[in-house]
Amino acid sequence: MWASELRIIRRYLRDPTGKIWGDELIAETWNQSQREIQDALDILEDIKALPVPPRASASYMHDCEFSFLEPNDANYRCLHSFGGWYAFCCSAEVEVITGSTANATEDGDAYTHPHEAFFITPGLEVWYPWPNDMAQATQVYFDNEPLLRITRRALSGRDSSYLKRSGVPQSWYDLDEVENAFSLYPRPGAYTWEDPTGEGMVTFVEDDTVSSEVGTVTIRTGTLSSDTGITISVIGQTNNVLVAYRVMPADVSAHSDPLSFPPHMTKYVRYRVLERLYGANTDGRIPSLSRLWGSRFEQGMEALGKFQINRLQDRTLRLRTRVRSPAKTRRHPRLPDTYPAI
Amino acid sequence: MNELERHTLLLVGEDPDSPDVFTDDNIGLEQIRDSLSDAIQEIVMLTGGYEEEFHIPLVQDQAFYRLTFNDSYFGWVVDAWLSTEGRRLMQTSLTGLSHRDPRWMVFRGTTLSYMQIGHDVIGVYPAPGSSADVLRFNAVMVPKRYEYADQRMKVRKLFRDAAVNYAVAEYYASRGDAAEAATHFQHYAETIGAKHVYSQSRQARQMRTQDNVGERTQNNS
Repeated sequence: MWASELRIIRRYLRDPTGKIWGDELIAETWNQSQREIQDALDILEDIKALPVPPRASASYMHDCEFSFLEPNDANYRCLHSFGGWYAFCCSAEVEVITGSTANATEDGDAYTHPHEAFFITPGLEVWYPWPNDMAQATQVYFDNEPLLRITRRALSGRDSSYLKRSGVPQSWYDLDEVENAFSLYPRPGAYTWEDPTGEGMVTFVEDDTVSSEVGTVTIRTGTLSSDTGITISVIGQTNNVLVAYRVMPADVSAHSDPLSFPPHMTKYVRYRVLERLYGANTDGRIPSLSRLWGSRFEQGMEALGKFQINRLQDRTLRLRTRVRSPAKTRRHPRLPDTYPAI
Repeated sequence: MNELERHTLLLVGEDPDSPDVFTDDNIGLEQIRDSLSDAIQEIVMLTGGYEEEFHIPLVQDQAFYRLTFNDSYFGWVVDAWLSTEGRRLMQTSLTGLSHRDPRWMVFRGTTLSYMQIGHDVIGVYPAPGSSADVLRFNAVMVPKRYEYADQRMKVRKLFRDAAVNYAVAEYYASRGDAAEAATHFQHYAETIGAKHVYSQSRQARQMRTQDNVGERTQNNS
């Protein structure tokens, strides 16, 4: 928790009541430092299961509504944005607004919550939220099958009905980096409605643990758990989108915020924070202490690098010569040579 | 107050039998315990000195298991064993599996290998076809912060002096004495034999360079 780490940092700053370094400055320095360590060492990674159909905690149409929502939740920007204060469901509304006499064919039906897309033929891409702490997806699977990354541009050029098409998903594409969302192509034709609890929007499913970002199933629990020594949770890979990704450390601000780095690594972030705060242009600037903590930070980075290498020590390594590979690699299936040409 | 705490207090000029500042309770010894715990964690992360054995019952069709440990944090797997088959498991990775066979997650069968993802997830390949197997593995575990004096200190005796020096160094750093802190950090590094990771010449060179830069800046101004 950030409060306990903040207390330790203040101890080494010798500023327990924040007369020189305010909480906000320390928190911002912490956020920068942890991003720096993650960028340098790529030490945080995770794997999560995302439900299909997707779930959102809230839907909104305009940017002005967004400020009233929980920023860390899975918030869905619904319908079509026309910029400014307009949002519309179908092309006919634009024709009315602009005074056009065109009579364009509608792409499909409109909806306001992403799971509604599975009841209709949608005219919008189905929105799936990435995990809040995701920096970059490294592997994506749907119902155990691998998905390839594709761009919307390539997709719309290849399939003019890509919005309506349903079937077994083969690929995924990013919708918007700010919205932190993606879509599947084609839309899953077969899926499993979980047994939702409650009314209105589907935000909770029995036996699922929903993380802080409401709408993202992270762990399917209830399989194995124990209070003695170890708790085991199964990450459901069947019927879900499974994503392995690089983590972007979550910013801290409130005292109750959790820390992204595991507790045995937070001291290295602390060293960097102390180096920066003692070196900052404040009344508490002490270059010798800044150098001391800077030195500790550099040594800590090497220790973390060594720790990363240690994690690979159970690997079985095989030596290969340049002349001839001892193992034949089989990468992809091939059609037989006798197969008739198209 | 345990042996390491007493040793630390002696080195910082405190009387452990009648302490002025670091009183013998959880609040009084909080700083010392934080530092000793940090030292022990770092020693284990570098040397792999503390291991535990775990048994994970595998679940049919499930390849990924998130593990939460009560007393420690997941370091790395030293040896993995499939109990029912009596077979050692190979270490692999998501990237390696995807390279060899993009559809690796589809297959079910007897588990052949395992992978570690992040700091709390372990995966197996292939996903078990039944719930009959148990994955047994030995792993280096990084101990959680100790809370009480009578808790076991999970560091070998050889490195206890190192942990004490680490705590003493952080004490001096918290009092603003950078030079004394650097000296004790150096004792710590030498004791655990991490000269490559903690090179005195490197640290001295860096501090000397920064001093020179500071002097030049002052002269120029």
